[in-house]
Amino acid sequence: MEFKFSKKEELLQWAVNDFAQRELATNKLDTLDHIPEEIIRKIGELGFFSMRIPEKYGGKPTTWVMIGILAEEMAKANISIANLIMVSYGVSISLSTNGTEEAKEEWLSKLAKGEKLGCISMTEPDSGSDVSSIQTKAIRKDDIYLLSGEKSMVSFGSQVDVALLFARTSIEKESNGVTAFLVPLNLPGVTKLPIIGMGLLPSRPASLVLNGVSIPVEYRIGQEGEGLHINRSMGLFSDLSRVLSGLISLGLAQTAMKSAIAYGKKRFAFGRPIVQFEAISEKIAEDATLIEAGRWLCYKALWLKDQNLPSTKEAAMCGWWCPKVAFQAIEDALLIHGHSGYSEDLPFQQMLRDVTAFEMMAGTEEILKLTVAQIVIGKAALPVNLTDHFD
Amino acid sequence: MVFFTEVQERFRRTVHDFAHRELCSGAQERAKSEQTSPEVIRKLGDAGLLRLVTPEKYGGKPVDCVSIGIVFEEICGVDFSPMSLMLSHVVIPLMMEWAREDLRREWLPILGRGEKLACFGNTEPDCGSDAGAIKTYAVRDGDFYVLNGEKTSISAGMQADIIILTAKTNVKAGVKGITCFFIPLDLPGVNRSRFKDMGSIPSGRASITLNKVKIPLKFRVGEEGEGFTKIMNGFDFARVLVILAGIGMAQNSLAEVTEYVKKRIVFNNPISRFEGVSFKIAEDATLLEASRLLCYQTLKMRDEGLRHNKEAAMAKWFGAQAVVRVMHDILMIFGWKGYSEEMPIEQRFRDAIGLKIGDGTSEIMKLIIAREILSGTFGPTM
Repeated sequence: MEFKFSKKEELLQWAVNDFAQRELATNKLDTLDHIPEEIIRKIGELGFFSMRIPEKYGGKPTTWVMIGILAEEMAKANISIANLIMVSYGVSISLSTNGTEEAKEEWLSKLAKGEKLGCISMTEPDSGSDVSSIQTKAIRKDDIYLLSGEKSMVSFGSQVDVALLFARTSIEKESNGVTAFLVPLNLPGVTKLPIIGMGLLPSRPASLVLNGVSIPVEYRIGQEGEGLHINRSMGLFSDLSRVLSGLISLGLAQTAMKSAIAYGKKRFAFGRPIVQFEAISEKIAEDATLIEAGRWLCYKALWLKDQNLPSTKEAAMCGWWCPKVAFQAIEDALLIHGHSGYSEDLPFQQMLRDVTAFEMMAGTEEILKLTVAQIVIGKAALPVNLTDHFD
Repeated sequence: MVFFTEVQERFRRTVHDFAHRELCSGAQERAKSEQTSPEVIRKLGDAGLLRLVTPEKYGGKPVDCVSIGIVFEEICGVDFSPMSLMLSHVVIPLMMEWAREDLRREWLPILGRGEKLACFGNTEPDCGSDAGAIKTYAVRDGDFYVLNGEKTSISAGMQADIIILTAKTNVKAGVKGITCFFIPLDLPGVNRSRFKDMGSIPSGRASITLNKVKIPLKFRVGEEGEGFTKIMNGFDFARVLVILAGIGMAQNSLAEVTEYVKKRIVFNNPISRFEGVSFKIAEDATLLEASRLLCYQTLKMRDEGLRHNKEAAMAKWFGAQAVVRVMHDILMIFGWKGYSEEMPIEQRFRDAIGLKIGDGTSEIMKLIIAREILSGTFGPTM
């Protein structure tokens, strides 16, 4: 048993860290309402959108651990860009695994290069945790589908080109009626309504209103009725998203902690650097402990995926716990800076606002704990009407 | 509430009704404004809520400390935006008890009506928690003082007309060399700049620099060397009031989310049926209740002339933590809707974070409590 990265993984860690610290570690990116084209282009050129995509579409094989490393190192510099990468893999890997040849030809190599960007759209105004309750309809008519409905809070919905979007092809059986589609967002009938969130400003989310949007049959991802399975295996609520939410949160938290330590060593009160007060040093020690434990839990989950072993339990643990740990660490870092931490001059208040989104990104805390409970306790732990909703 | 007298309960009803009638509408927008709304100031002034500590002979309508706490809880529960200003208009009249009669006669009535606005300050760029280590100094020059230095993190600082601040009149005497001064902010040599904050945006938190600011003797508040204890006494009161403001805001938010969870259906059930949700609400309600009791106990002790440093410190660190935790839980329960600017929750959450910093960090609060409990052997190891 080894707690270290392979040579390839270490090399990637170095490369991402080098890029991220040089190009992304600046406050100014945090308050933009989009991610600059220039940055996306550079990320694409470095191959950071193309991991695990088949080589014929410009991709390369990597371990799941490497995607984790990519996400963590990016997040240390900028959480919104790490978020973009996480979301983009949800789209590209779903497409690569379940898409038709036509859809892959048209989109996959562009997504792999970052020339086109994707988002994931499941949530609706009345449907969050209960994904089987979505109402957006996809009606088959010869060789097209007509989509109608409203999706809410689609991260990157304002900026991206295409959505991995889930709609109901059948109302007969709750879970089995949901299907995944690739929906280009410039099609007639698509209206984007930008929303401003408390944080993750560059990911400017949007509501998407679909009014008779016509997409070719070739853009259906997987079979009719496979939508929830696809979401669960590589979409928003996948193990991968849960682990990456954890790693991204912890990446940002590590940056916050580093600054807090540097500040605490040079800020004096009562004649000594404030880190000499246990009130401060114990906080830092606790946060360091939890971040360390959280990181390795995330990498264990990814290692399990690399071994083709089940990772549901670990991923759910990462998903509910790591963002919480990160929130606490970032809050502590903000408070260590005293009143200055509260202002926009320092990055901590934005970090706190940003990391909060990851506490609900890949599922609410309640859902994720039920997922853990279901594995640790068994199906007996699930309320009767929920047993169908947990795998 | 079991704690209140009949008079206080009637007072609470009046303030509650006033708040809901006058301040509900537009509160969400005002939370993001860079200043406290002049219309809100006018309403508060007209209702007598900016002269709760002012003696009657200066136009005041003084009430007891518990009642002042009630004002903060009820008003800020509906509209958090005027909190800093309301606080200044408690602390300044309190401190002016030691000012010269002519200064009081000139300023207390107009401050009490909200025609002029006040703020107060001790913190400087190099000293926050270490409150005695200020560097701003005042040199006596005949019938004047000349002040130099910088105060920072002054709540209500951008909008205020005057400040009461601390300065050293004897740089060799430690905290016993600190004196309070009343400074009109339009004097030559005074400069202000604004903080852009994550929350409490309408407070208009400011940095204020003093460059050879010359003031007449009458602007000194209290005797030379008495400034430190005076401003610390102010903080013992202020810190409870800010927490009550936060508790009001959190309590109303909890009521809103309680209604939501009864209506929001997930997996064919209102989410109130899942303990993951209902127990969060139960815990949050408990924490707010405990915090509120700590606050009102402190205010009651203050009304009875009892020493209350420890209780104020308990109320501050515990209450701040409770309010932030409650607002965070509520944000999570509202999910993505709560995260967006369409709902008022995300801004209230941001406002709540500030409660952990201003008027005494949690670390200092715990030092105060430890000092009282442990007496001689407390304090950081050398």
